[in-house]
Amino acid sequence: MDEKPIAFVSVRYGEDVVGGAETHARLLAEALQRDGFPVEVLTTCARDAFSWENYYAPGEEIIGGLRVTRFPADRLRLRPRRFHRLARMIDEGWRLSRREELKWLKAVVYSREMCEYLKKNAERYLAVVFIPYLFGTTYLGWERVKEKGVLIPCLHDEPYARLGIFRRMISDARGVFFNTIAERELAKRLYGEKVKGYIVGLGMEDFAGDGERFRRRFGLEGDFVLYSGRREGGKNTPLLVRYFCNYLLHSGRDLRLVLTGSGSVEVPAGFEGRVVDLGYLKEEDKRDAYAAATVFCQPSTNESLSIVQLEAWLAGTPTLVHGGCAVTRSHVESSQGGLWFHDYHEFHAALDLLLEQPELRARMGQMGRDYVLRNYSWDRVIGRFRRGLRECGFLPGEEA
Amino acid sequence: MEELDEIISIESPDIDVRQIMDSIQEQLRKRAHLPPEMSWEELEEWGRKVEPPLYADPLHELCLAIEYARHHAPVSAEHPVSSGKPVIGPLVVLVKRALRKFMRLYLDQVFSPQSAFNRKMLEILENIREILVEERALNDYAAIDRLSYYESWGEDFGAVCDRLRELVDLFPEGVEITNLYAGRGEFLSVCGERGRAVLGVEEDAVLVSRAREMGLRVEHLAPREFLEKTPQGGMRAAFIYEFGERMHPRELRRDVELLGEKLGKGAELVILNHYPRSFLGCEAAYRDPTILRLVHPETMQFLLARAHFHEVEITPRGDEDTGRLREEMESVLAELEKARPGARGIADELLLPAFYLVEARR
Repeated sequence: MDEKPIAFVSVRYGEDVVGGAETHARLLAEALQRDGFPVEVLTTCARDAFSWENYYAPGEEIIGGLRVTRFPADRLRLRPRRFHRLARMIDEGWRLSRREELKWLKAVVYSREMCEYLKKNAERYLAVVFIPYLFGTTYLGWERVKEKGVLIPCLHDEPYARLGIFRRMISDARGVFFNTIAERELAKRLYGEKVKGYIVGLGMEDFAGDGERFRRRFGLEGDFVLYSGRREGGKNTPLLVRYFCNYLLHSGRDLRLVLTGSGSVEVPAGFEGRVVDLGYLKEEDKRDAYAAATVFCQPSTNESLSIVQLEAWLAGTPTLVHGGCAVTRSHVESSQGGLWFHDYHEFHAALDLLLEQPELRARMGQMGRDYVLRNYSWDRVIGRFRRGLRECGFLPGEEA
Repeated sequence: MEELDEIISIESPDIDVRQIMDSIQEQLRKRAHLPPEMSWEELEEWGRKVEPPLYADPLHELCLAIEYARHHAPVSAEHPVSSGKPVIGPLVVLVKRALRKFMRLYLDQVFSPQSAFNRKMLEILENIREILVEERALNDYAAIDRLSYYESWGEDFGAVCDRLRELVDLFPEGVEITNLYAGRGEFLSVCGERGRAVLGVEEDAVLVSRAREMGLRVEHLAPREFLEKTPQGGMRAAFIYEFGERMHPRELRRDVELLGEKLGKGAELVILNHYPRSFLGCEAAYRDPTILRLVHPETMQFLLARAHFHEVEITPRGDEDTGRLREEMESVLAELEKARPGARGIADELLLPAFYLVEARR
């Protein structure tokens, strides 16, 4: 096996860290280590993605069998008014100078010590994998190692993705590993055909959820639509709640919407009994919830993989996704595992169809499950990762 | 490279989601009036006018309340320290951190009795929930859930369907039949075969979900509650299988009274029950541990008459198997009669058909 380790650079890291890209980094790093790659992790001391306060002690520790080195997180102190002005300009699609973009990036979070470490130690590593694209740890770190850098951008179609610094990084990187074809197409649309992108993704462990146990534990009966993940505007959960309440009024069905995950949920008055907020669930309960749900709904338009959608399919539950999200919709189109909606009326009609046809639902759930097992098993993901490294010249070519 | 990038699509001859979405969009385009989409504010306004929600199941409410309490039970001085003030912000954070370090010694002491109290309350709530779940199980019919019984030992779904199939013809065409205490949905299924409009009403959530999985139309509600909600004379036909056999006699009396009120003039009520005088009826009924008692046909006739059902006809009704058994027993019975005159009469009674059919009209 290769002597030099692969470094994973993630802005936050740990078993108690909540976040899609952070979980992605941890699971992929651990899987690579299991497969025989020596892997190290470089991260910051931050745990919370709002305050970026240095929560963990700097230095080395072992997590899941991997050596994790933590560096203090830094933030450029901008006046709040200045910071919000920059953020608003990005949101509104203004063109910023490189200097302004870097200011904004550093004001979110970065790590000076980590950058210095990378500059001095880049040659120690076979490759340095940065995940996700958005943070200062990624951009400033990649600038220090460049030829050693591989990106797993977890790219969304959002204003930040249009910043010049990210355009430069993603189009110049030696290798970019995407989660889905749709994500790579988005990168090519944003940055041009020059992007050297390979599909790798994230492996999913198969599981068997116990729907009955979930229903007993939470006293739930009858059909319900499930959402799991962060509950916030960016994930479109308020839209889901509004569509669902409209659906209840117009269809007269006896149905519930069950929400799990972090963040708060607002429910219109009069619908409290129908929209059930279970908060953050243990892994076992979450898996049981997937199995118990009649339909899983992913309303977010900002997804680069959507782990929850794939998990719902593993439990055999069909998914209803927002048609404006190229990634989740392409999962559905490739698997036949559900339906999508662009507006309330499509949501209503698609949900009606899924609720009225249990056989169709079961068939869609099964096809979704086949899709996940065939495309996102660890064997396949590690195989694609290895070939990606080979294609980018980090590993020698295959022997004849 | 192709192999590397390959995402394997799943194909199916019977499902094409693009086609389904095209047909949904086509249908929406053709519809002249789509239901108006309400904004958040409109939903709120609507919600303020309705009664506070009634939970279908109080246990459900308790489970959710415990879950909520569990999230909020731990009390600690841990709180992220931050400051939005420019320039002096880092200093403020330092001071706050230092203060918190000293205050924690005191605050953790203050909070610990509250945390202990919360933990104890959670334990108590959990115990209450467990007691309720146990009590509910004990009060369930013979402490056995019906679906488990049917699946492990009970009569085959198809066999019950065969028994009920002919009864569909007793109802006039074009009338919606209400099947109270619909169980697994055998009667709903045979009505479906014949294209008859039928609505099932069942209280047992597991049975309801099983029936719905089969695409049957079932309302999840206690039949008594359904009857209470139905307007006077609002039902035109009703069918009940094993009526009164899983309830207290006073509940049966109340159900019959309600049926008398809710079935309209000339409406048809059909009941198929185990025949308590028949050995076969008793044997068939009490094999099912969820059956508590049998209702004598005369008792049923009396209750129906009190509820103003004017035409009540009761006829014994057996399955094909019962008829065959009688034929096989014929020679034995003849021998018995020869050996002991009058014995055949008793044996005849025992071999009466296993069921009796009630046809009543308002």
